[in-house]
Amino acid sequence: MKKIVSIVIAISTGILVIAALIFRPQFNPLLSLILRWGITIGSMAALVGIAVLIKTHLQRIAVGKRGFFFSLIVLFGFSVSFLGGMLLGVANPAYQLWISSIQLPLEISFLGLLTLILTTTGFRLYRLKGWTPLSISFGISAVVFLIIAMGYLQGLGNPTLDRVIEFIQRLPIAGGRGILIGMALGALVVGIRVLIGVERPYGE
Amino acid sequence: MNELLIWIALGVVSLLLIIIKIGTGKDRDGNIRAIIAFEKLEHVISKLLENGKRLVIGLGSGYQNSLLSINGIIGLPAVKCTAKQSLLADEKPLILSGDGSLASMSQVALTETYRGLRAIEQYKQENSFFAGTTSMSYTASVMAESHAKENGGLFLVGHIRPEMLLPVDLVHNKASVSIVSADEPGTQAVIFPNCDSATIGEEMYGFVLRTESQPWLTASLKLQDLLRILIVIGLVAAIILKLFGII
Repeated sequence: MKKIVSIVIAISTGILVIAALIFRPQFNPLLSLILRWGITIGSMAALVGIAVLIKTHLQRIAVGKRGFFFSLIVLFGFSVSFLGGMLLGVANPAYQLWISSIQLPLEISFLGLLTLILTTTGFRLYRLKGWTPLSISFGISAVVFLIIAMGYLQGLGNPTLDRVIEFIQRLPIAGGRGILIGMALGALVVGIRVLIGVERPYGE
Repeated sequence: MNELLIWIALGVVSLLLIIIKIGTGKDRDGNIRAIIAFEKLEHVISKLLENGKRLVIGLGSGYQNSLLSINGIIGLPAVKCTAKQSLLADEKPLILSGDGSLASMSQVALTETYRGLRAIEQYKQENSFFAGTTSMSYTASVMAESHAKENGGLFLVGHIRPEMLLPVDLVHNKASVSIVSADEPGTQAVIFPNCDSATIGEEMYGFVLRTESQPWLTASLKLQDLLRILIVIGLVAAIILKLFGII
């Protein structure tokens, strides 16, 4: 019975949202109501998720699991940020300075690290994947686009070369669109599978 | 006009799915081509079970952040599949979600799977949790969890951002296995050279068939291929018509 209820709710909500998106003027109040419910349920799910996360870290501290010191840091950071937000309000300048002083340097460090790893990636490609047609074409295209991006070839002022470069620069857009069409079709079919109840991510 | 076209497109796609399903009959597997990444994943799961190691599954972010993506739910069959396969294993898979809704759905998927196997006592809440509210915090969490010595592999599936290269690189340095099935073309390009195996484009939608052989799923994959062929024919026809100045 529980399974049938969840399937009926999922299918009817999906059909209502599609109908509301298509017949906007008539269904606008209903669409905004469903979206408000969605936001509330999503926020509640996030709260439940955070509660589970805190419980997991508390358990790790309680049993003294290896690396529990990091759990202590997580809980300390979370408690201070949560209490600060509740007491001062999220718009408070001091609170925003606290959050941005932690978040920004960390995210920038991550991006720096990512840049370094991306640089070494090219060298690792052939060791990991071997000399396959895919890895060779991947490497060649990377070098070609690196040279084109430098802009030296465009500076030569050769009209034929410029046309060739323009054509080459269009290739990734065409390839990207091809991949995106495939992804969109996949998402569409998954959506229909959920709508007709074949795929039930919310249950077994 | 656009609204009418959406209705027509949805109707045609649904109708085609039903027609293909009727044509496929009760064929569970069909003649779907093999996807190397998922075949490798099956080997990895078996190997991890033998070695007493666990698989970390990163479901990516789903709905909460800027992108409204249905691709977040693609990883849920992986959750059910690994839960079933590791029923008797000491180390259960660890599921990390980058979104509250996805975390709740993965908890439900785990509970229902264990309940279906009449082994609800195997379900542990701490084996699946919400690992980060932003893409960077999620990346940091996956890095931290992937570093544990009981982990033997990382499987990222769903809406995966390019910064997830960091945990993939970490896993690679630990000589563990990483398999990525990302929806973003940018992520696919960034992660492809680094991970052991990755899906390209729409291959990620084929995962569900690897885990749950159902005639409907076979039919939907066949429909995807048919739609792609139709689009290619349409594009080529449009190019020819434009070349001759007809449109």
